[in-house]
Amino acid sequence: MTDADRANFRALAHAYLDGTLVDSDRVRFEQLLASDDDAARELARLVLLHDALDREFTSGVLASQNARFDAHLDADLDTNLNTHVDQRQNGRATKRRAWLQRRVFVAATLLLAVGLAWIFATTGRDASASDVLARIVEALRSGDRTYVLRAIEGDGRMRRREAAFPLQEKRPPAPIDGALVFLRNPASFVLVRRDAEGHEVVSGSDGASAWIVPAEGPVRVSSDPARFRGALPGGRLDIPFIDPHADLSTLARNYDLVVQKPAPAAGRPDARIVATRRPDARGGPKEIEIDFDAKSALVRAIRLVNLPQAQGGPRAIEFELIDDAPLSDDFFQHTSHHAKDRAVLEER
Amino acid sequence: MDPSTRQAFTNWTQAQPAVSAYVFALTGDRALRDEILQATALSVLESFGTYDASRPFLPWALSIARNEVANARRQARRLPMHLSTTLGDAAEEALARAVDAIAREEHERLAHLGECVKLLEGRAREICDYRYRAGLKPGRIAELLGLAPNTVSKALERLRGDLRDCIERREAGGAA
Repeated sequence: MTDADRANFRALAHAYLDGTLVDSDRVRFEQLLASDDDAARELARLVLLHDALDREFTSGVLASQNARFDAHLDADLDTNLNTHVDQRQNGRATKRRAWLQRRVFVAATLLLAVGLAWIFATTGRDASASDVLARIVEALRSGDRTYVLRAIEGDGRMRRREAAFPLQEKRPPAPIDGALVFLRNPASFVLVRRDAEGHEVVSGSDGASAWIVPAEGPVRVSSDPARFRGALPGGRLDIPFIDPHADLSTLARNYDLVVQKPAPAAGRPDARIVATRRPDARGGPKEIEIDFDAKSALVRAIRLVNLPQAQGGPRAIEFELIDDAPLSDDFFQHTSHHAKDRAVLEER
Repeated sequence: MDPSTRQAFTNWTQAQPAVSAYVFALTGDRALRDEILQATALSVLESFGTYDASRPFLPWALSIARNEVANARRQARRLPMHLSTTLGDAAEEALARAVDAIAREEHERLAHLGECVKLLEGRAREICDYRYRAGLKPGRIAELLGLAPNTVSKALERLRGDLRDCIERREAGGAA
């Protein structure tokens, strides 16, 4: 390997570790790596440095040195996001609370953002927060989003593979950790999860109809878009999916809302909305966090903390944005998720 | 603790930094690395009885880690490919051999890393903070700093090179 080759390979190695290696270079990179011991050692040295740096900044002495970093990021932001929202309590209708108990899950957090925008827009509270939330709503309503679900243990936010379930449960809830949710507004979704036996189950809706592709047996299709919502992650809570037209104010009325600035030094580069359930509100998670890009308003993560445990399931759930690339036009139709010769049962 | 378990712990403690780096290189994701590392540690302890003590421990641990990475990929096979760093089999094997070959020596050198990072200043330190403290990719860092993504990538390459130079100087006794 000449000096020029070495320099070239080194550039590719850095790009590989930073996730910027383009496909056209990948083949050459792998060939060099597999065929040249010097190249492999070059990458190995870099890999060890890369990992050591990561640990140095996240768990080493440097992890606590954050003041300068925070100050810089503050300067980057052109809006003051520190706004505590103290919404007036409105009358609570029992029926609406019961509705909320059943309907707090993925969509709930998204609905929260929309609801917040509505509240801010109609009450004239802090203009910057109102702007931020309006942008979140706009971002939610445009484009396709892919989220991965993580089951989280308690307030420690420790990830785990499956949720615990109460002893009185006759059978454990299906694991949701690792399930994927694909969203497209309005009201289109695809959920890919595994059932209690570990078999893949895909369900979804294109907004006009709903469908489920079980591991075995016929594909079932219903003209009712809400038909298979019970199969959604958290289906044991009977939560509907994203519906931007639902009643938004109820959710906002039941939570105290705080918008926080990013804190990159603490490992949180995004701004955050923290919604804490009011003491007199019932049902739903005690806390909802929405992490969003302060500039683009793209929702990057949603956490539902202290979920009701009466029916088992995880204590907390996180939705992490993993992709916002456009999905194919037919992605939300069942035909994209099973073989052509699969039997399809139309329900009435 | 029985002698076998004690030996397993000892071997794992020594091998863990290299295994961590290898898994991080194959996944490109901090959280996934830690999950896989945990699974690898458990597998190492559970299968330590099958380990041939006449052979080096690190290659054995790396092979287990590689299996755990493969398991994680299978479980997440529907994830968009660009979310995980992937290499072909031959490249993964070559990297494992190379990590094994240099791990001990590099581990001693990297003891100087903390001192060298403290010497980073200005934009270099800033970019390093964004990359490693906040875990941001070059594209996002570029957005925050108002730079071109390629500028950030080049800066990362340069600062890692500077850190290696610093480490080597200190290793040679000529502290900068």
